[in-house]
Amino acid sequence: MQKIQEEILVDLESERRVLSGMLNSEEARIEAYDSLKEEDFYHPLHRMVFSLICQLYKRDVKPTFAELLKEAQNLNLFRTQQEISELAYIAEHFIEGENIGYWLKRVKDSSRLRKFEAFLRRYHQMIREKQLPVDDLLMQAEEELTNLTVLDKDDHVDSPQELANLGYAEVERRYLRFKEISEVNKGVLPLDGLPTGFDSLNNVTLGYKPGDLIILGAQTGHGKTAFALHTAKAVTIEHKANILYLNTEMSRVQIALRWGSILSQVEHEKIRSGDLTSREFSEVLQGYSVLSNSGFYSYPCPNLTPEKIVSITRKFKAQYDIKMMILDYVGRMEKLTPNYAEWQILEQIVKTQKMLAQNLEIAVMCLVQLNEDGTLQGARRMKNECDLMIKMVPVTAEEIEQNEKLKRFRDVNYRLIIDKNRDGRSGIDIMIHFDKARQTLRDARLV
Amino acid sequence: MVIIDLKNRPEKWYTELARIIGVLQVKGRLKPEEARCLLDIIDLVIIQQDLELLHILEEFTEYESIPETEEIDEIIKATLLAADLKQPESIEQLKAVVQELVRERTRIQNKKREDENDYLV
Repeated sequence: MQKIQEEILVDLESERRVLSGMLNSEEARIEAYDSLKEEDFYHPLHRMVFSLICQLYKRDVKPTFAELLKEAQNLNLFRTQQEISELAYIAEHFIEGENIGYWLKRVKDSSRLRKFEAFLRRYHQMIREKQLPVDDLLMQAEEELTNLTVLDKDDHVDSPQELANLGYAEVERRYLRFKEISEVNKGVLPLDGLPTGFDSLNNVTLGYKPGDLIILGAQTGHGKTAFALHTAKAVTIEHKANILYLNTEMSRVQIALRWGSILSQVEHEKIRSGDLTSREFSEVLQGYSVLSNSGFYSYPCPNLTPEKIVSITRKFKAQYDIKMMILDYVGRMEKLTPNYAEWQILEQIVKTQKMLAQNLEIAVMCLVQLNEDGTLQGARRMKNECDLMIKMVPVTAEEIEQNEKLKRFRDVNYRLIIDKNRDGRSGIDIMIHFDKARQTLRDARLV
Repeated sequence: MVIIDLKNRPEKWYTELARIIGVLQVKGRLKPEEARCLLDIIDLVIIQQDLELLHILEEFTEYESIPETEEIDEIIKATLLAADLKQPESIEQLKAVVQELVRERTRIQNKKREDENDYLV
């Protein structure tokens, strides 16, 4: 009986399986890094190994057995022959990546049971010592038990006091910021999040914030990728933050050539054909030197699935501390459930992206394709999930002729329609200029 | 559920070698920098399959050390210990240098063998 109880509470074999999986498969590393904590392991050596693998993983070093031994040597760990033999045993008996979920669950379950056992022991002691009145004791126990049974490691229920404190801190921050705007910045709003690349959009949104899901819709050939790379430029080059860019339809070369044009202001067609003057050539090279020092991480992948996005984004969050992920674009993603209607698939993807943004505390931008009539398939459902929905549509010469407001701009040729803005005004249009030849965007200039 | 057994596969040798290096260091038979260098080498040869380095090391281990090659052995060891085995350029330089040293070592060994044969004749 005692032995069975110990096996349930202390599942060393599962701990070894998880660690060996982490040593041998990147998929397992991503899963385990994201879902386990050091204290979920019972054996002190296993805790240590888990922590070492995570440290190597964060530095993007493949955790081979030798690397692990070297890391341990640096930190003056592993002092006995038995410890090294246990580690060798773990390294030798590895599991395939797809089984990791099973072993992770076993390690987590054991960890939760140990916490439950500790809880029972503690309350048993409290009952014996009559430390609290019965009502208080039961109430406190119920709260702790709920945390054990329902909530995951990152979940947290706000008490009234915590929520009030949070509200107070937020209002104080905004109050001070408002004073700063009026006194120091002379009316220019400081951003709450990452810059959008447009002053007018910055004013309306105060930037792309951690946890935000931004949806940008445009018709085919009307600047989706240009918008994405414009955002990437603002975030990585001007703001110096790291970004992950996932592209489902363009090759590495195409993406690299686009950057050449964006950063040098030399026409894209000239760069593609190589028909450049020596000055233009030098400007393009200078542009690439800026790119090489930026935090733009690109992952072109034609067969992207929602699962793959989650896994890659988690990896980049852990290893490069990315502040934003851009998915260019949703419609080209692999459909894992072919029986679903298009809108159902889009809804599924968008929901996953929102959860990803919240869990990793990054901004996520999804690019979607508008229909020819400017509508968006599954728009209502997407709108429900996202924090900011923008449509980028062309402005025709006829429209400018008929609209007095548009005449105030010198070079408007596109507008950003803010369909939804959870944190501010929506239903407004922002006039921009899209230079197709150079693949650049900016606020439209007033006459 | 698939559990992969590494018996009779290079990975098995890799784990065993790394374990022995780790144990020798714990026992004080290898200095930390020596253990570190050996771990880097087995990573390069077995995991990254650097066959060029493997062949150089094979040539090195073909003959045992003799008093005449002690100095060159020390130089090879010092070169290996000083190299940054994480940098591809450094690895290439190291291979070129060590290959030269190993060739010189082999030449000394062969010459000694020839001298011994002449003496016997």
